[in-house]
Amino acid sequence: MEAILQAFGAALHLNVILMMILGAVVGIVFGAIPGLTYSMGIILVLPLTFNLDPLAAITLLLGVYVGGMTGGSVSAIILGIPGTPSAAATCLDGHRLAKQGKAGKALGTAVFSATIGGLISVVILVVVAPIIAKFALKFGPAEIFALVFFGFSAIAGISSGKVIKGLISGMIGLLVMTMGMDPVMGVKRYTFGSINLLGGVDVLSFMIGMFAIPQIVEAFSTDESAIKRKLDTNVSMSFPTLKEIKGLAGTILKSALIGVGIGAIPGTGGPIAAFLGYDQAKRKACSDEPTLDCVAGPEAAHNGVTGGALIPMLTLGIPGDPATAILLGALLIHGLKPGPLLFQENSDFVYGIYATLFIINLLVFSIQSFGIRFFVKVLDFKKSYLYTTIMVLCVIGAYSSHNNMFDVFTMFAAGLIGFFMQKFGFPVAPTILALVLGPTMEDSFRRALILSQGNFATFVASPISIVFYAFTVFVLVSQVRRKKKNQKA
Amino acid sequence: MKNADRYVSIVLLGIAGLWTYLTYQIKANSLPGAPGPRFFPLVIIAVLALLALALFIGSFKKGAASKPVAAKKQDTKMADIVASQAASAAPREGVCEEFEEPKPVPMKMLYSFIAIFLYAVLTGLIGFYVATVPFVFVIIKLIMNTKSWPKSIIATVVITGAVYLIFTVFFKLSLPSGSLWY
Amino acid sequence: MKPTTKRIIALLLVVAAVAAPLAAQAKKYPTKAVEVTCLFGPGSAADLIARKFSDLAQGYLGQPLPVVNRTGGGQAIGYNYVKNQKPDGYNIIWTSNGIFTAYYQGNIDFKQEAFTHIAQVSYEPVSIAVKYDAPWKTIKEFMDYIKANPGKVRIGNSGAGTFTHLTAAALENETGSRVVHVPFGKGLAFASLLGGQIEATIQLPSEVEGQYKAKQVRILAVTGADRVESMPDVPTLKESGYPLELILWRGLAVPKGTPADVVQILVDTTRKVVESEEFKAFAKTVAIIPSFKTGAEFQAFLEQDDKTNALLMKQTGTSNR
Repeated sequence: MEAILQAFGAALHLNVILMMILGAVVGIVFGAIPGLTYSMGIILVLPLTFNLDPLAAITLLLGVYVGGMTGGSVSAIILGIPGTPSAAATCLDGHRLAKQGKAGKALGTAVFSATIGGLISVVILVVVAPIIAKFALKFGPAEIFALVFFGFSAIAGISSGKVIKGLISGMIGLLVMTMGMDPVMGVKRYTFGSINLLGGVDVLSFMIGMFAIPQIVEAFSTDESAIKRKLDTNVSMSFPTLKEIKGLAGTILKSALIGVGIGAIPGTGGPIAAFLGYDQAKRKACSDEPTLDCVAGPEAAHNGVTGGALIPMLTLGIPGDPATAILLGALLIHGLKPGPLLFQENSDFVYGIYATLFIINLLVFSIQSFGIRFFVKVLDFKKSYLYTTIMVLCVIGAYSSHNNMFDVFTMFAAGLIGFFMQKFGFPVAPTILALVLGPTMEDSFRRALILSQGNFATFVASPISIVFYAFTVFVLVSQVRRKKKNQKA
Repeated sequence: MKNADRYVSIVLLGIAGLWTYLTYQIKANSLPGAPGPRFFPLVIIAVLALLALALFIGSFKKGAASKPVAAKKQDTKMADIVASQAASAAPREGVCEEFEEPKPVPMKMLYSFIAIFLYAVLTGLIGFYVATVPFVFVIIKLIMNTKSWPKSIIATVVITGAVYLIFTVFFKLSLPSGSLWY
Repeated sequence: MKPTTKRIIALLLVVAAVAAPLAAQAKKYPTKAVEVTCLFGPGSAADLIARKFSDLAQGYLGQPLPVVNRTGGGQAIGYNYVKNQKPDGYNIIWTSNGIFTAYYQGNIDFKQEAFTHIAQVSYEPVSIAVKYDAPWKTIKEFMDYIKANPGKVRIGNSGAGTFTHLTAAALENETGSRVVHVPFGKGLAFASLLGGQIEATIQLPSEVEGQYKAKQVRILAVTGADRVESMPDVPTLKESGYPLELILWRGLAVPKGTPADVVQILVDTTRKVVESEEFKAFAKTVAIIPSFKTGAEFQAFLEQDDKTNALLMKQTGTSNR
């Protein structure tokens, strides 16, 4: 108890608070703007952290992380372009709600659910981090494969009724991800002699291209005044009512837990959690109409990842997702070595992190809620200026992921592909899901076999795997049942 | 839509075939016990082929005609306007919107794609900011038909300038400076 | 004009003619920022070292040295990029034995000769880690176990053809037996060790220090010439009777053809940084050992490393040449 109070005391120092605010603002802005992501934000503020004291440094980075995760929903809902890969799932129902004129409610639900998800993840982090860490370690390649396989079944849920086309979109995504170096052997696959393709297709650039470019091109080609009407610029954010919250509570809680779990498993991150959260909410909603649940789900899930990913990072020194990998590096620079020793020798620092993370979630909530009205004002700019700027920022975002012009062309190619996919009625979301899950799926499958020396029994050897396969079967069965019901109606 | 499905499924089958050929170009060595680099792609291609086949067969089903309309009603996913507008000459079949859908002009879409592509190419050649100026200007003035020249120029300067200040000056981000200059 | 005036003017002109280029040269390299390419992602050990180095070098060179991460393709993309840059000293790259592994994997068509090497900056031994409750308390016990159980022991590494993989292969050689090499991506090898899915893994000391001190992991040996400062009771392979020395080295290079005076400035700056107290203190926090080698000594080292890597890669089946 005393330690916790002390921790909050440390967290409320002026320089820490300043860093919180700076981080949150940078994060939200980067998250909200399509093309820029929180990873980029973290990397850009990293140099600023070198001369700060450890807590302030980590606070800054955490602020960007949480802010970025939460901010992604803003453009996802309003523009239909996810600000970060994790927000892709929010985009599905969120934007449809916006087109129905319910953008305000969607935005409010999004930030509310995200914050609750984040807070839940902090609580879990504080209370049971070591236990979860131990459990997360039980996820060997075979278990991860089962998890990812289950995640892939979510495609059925995000195809809005067109399952065959959705699966095809997914297959396309999987194929795209096989390009590059084979993850296990390092052999070249489909690189056509290009050294840039050796690095594989950059998921971020591809995603930006697929989601943003068709929207941007459409905006460029459409009459100005018409677009103005399409985007409901009189959006004022409205939070879900108490009644609505009661209805959403189950979804939010479940999704947050999903997020924490996914975050805790090294090698999986935000986007996967978001899609699982979406799928879980969709199944509960049982219809193809967009619902608030399907906004709350992914938001709570990917913010649950923020606390979850810190679990293996702090307790074991293993990053739970790419952003925490950078956080890890920042800790090392300050001479702090994550792991059991950190808890023993620097426990006040660890508690400090817990405290600031908690406060950051609340701060992000406030800043984003307050800031939405400004963001919406931005939409009042002439569309030509707005979308042009977004395009410029997308180029920056695509280039900056690996400082490689090739990624910009990847983005363009993805834009073309996305454009034609939409033209022919193929849902785009499954492709993104596949891009995110594909490598892990192949990776874990082959590694599991390497470990078991070719014995396929390894895939069903552990109860964890069996549970996930059971989930998959259950989900598919209920999907089929739902379709039959809809067809009869 | 159904005819389109038919052609698309044929194209997909073609892609599946081509990709299979490419897959056999991959070196097949592997660690003991595990499948090699060709395994996963081949599985994907097989599934894709099956799905394409299903799509092909589905495109012949008469009764399925009602489904696309119903599906369209729900599927207002991002830029579905493009799909419904561009793919069918007649305006939206049964898409319930609350306001009139603007029609994007197909030629402009083509120009937009070309402009974006050239932007990417120029960024690599003459540098990011140097390429951004013409891109922004072209989009604002020509493609989006902004009537006033001064406004277009000011907008170009402001946008490019703001991006420069934030990303290059404040964040010190490294952006392409153009290979042509070397 | 009077003849004296003419002479004076002529003299002034000569002086000016000589002074001008000298003045121009006085605007010495570097006159603008020097881009430093790091082949690993932000937050990685390589990245941290690069940033610290840039930070310190800026003090000597007066210009910033921004670190740009160019990852992908097993480091091939980054090597290829810098190799194709103008050799004017404004593009530096962090090298390691990755240049050889990338070559032998067939991802790049050049080796160290494509660059002019400035110096080696540091090296790191790796450690052989097992769970604390594993039945092997010494490296000898582990190696004997491998001998007795060919094809059973699973050793994790950070990817096919990477340094940790090659280290495991070298150990395998020593035993004359066979080991199952399990490639992982970022950090996952260690997670698998703790989860009990593999018997041992090869890790950089900085990655396992925390667990080692907390007695969750036992380090059987380190692979350098000397013991690691942060793990004083862990013997080296040599001490344990295995004549192996495997270190991951890091250095700096510029594209071939960079003018000698620019190279010299970089060499001198590097030496100053590596020998500085601040760098030494930093080195301790990331468990690297500063080591400055340049010129012929470094060349010879590179050639030796080339041979070692070629051999190990052939042996592990990860070589495509």
